[in-house]
Amino acid sequence: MDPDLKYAYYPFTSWASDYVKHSGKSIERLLDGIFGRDVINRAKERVTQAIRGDITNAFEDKDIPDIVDIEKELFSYPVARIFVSCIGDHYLIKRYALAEAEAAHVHMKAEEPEFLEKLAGEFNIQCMLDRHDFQIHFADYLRFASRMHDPEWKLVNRRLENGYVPVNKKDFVRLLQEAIRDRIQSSLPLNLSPALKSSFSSHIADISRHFEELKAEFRSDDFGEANSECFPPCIKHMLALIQAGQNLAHSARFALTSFLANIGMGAEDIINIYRVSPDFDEGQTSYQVKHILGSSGKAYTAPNCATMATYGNCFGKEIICDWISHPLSFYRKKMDYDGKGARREENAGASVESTTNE
Amino acid sequence: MNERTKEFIRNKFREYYQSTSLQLPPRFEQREWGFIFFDESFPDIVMRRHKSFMTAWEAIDYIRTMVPAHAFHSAAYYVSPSAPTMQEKGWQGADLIFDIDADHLPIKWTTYKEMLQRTKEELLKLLGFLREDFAIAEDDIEIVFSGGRGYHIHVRDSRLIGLGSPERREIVDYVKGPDLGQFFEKKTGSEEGANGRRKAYKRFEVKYGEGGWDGRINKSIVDFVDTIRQMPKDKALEVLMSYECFKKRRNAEDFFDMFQDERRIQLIKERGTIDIRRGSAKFWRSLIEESIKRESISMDMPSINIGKGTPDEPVTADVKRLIRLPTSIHGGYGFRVTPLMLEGLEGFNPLNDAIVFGDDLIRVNVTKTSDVEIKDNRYVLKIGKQSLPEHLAIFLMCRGAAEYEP
Repeated sequence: MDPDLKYAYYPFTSWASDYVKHSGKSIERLLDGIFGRDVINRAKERVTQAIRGDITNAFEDKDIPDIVDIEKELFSYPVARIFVSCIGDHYLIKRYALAEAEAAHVHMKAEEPEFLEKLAGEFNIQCMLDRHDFQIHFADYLRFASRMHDPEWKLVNRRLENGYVPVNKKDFVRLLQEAIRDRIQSSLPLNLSPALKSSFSSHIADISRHFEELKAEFRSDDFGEANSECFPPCIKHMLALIQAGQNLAHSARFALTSFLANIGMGAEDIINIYRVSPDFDEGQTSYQVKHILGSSGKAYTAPNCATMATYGNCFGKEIICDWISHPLSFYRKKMDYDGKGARREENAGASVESTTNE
Repeated sequence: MNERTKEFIRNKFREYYQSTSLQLPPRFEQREWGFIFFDESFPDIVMRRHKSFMTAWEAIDYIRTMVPAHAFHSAAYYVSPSAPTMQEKGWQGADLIFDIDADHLPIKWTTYKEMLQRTKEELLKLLGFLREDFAIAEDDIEIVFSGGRGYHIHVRDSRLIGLGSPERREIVDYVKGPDLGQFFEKKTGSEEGANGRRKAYKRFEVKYGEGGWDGRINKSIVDFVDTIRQMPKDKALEVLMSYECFKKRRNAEDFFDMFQDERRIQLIKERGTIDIRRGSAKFWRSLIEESIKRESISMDMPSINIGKGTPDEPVTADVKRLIRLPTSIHGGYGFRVTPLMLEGLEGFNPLNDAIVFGDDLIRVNVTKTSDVEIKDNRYVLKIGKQSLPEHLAIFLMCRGAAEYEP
């Protein structure tokens, strides 16, 4: 059977991987020849683009892609997975899975509902097509919707009848995107032979460089006037998770944002901290951060220690924690202790400098 | 509780365990078990966890020999249930558990009997959600009297077993009810007026639909309006004027007259139109608020398990929690953790039907004055030595209100 565009657009499906399996083209053989070179270049592009943001559509400048084009695109996916696995970094895997899922999202938006229903079957999503909308079983809905931050995704804000949640095409496609991300993320890294790894070593070195650059950009802690040394352990823990590319639970995001806002950090600085999150969405993050900062007329105060504990957000108690009941008190106390000393040194430094300038 | 009392209760529990047929939960061999024994520290809580059983015989024999004061099993299924850490246990899924406990509910009661009645009302509401909105099959729902202050529901639908905490919390949030704002929307737009010109409007709408919260709220509004319009006018005005927003009789009258037209009700049902006249928004708001409160379940309270622990995850969202073994005895009450059928639920009276001990007279020293209703008798007990029926004596001893005094 000839491959059609669907194989290239959705290379993570079982039909696409069956096609690759039965094509007789082994990874080792791909390393030679023009076809192989093109596949490898596109695979590299997939990963570097994922690191930087979006994976572009390979057929953008082609009217009708031919079989060779489609095959190149399709084969570049398993090769890209090998590259990601060679580096093996947890954060890269997340980033890559997200970018692949987002690329598929662009195509899915243009698909017919019948095709989307078939695609949902790939992920064992129990659903029914209801004219142009979908009915999705609530358990499948929750698998993907429970991680979305917008209240419109909350089950209680949806209609639920006989175990099914009606969703429109736009939302259905968004849920499928999450299903795709999960599948790709959970299937990586692959277990690769050292021989295969070494045969790709020069490509891997290129990709690694891109990746290290990206990580370096976000490593510089910039908390403005705030002194991150004095943060309580829970807040430090959340920041570390973000740096490691983990998505924070909603309650943790709220706690972190309100804490940083309360100690006087501005919206832009706070948004920048989230920028490294795998599912970072500038518009949404900015909206949420500004909301917590009081754009709607009500500024929020960070939750106290008891609330933090209830939601499982209390991490790594320190001695000061025994004296306080609020993360903000921790910060103030520690600032009083450490801060005073630090400020004295700073002042001393400033006067020395001004003397030299004279 | 003194040693002699402990020994007595333990013997009574042993008699029960040796004569009853214990019910083990499905896939019991993949669950973690936990027990609290009648040891030196009892009634303080020392839970022995991380136990597992390979065969039914082994489990039943253990309980019959060890005679625990409390017996629990995990809602979760594990690869190695007896491993000491979660990492090593290998979580594979968990039943969906609801704990409807009087201590977690914002309800008021004066007697134990009344409290159990209230928790049963909440239980029935919750079952309504599970059966209708979530369409969970009757066979996948096990209802259990907790042996103490409420009920447990174990849901074993295979599609739900793999859900994690965030997903479970969404289910809890659903039964806790929506925000008022979800139902009560101010719509602005423009429409063609009678003279053919477009005019701007601002109006309130309530959601509509057959099922789910939309249907629930819409129905309660329709029911209310329907009741009002069928009442004699004087009575109807009295009800309406009990709402703060109808300050003037004139306003309530307008409202009443409006609803004499049945098409108004159709409009609410089919389009959610409730903006009948200026100034009625306040009234609708309180009506919707009322019905959300009535239909919803408040259950987002930290689990207390047993004894005073630190507050942890809300029960239903906790995928590693231990739950009482149905058919065991609750050591804090002496009542049987009783599995119930949906049909028999209405008539179930724990103070009769969850009692396993007999009527022989037992000598006890009552240490706290108590007023107890049990097995259709009411006992007002004074401090001091006396002979009481075994079932009452054991209840008092388990509650720490009496000691064995042969």
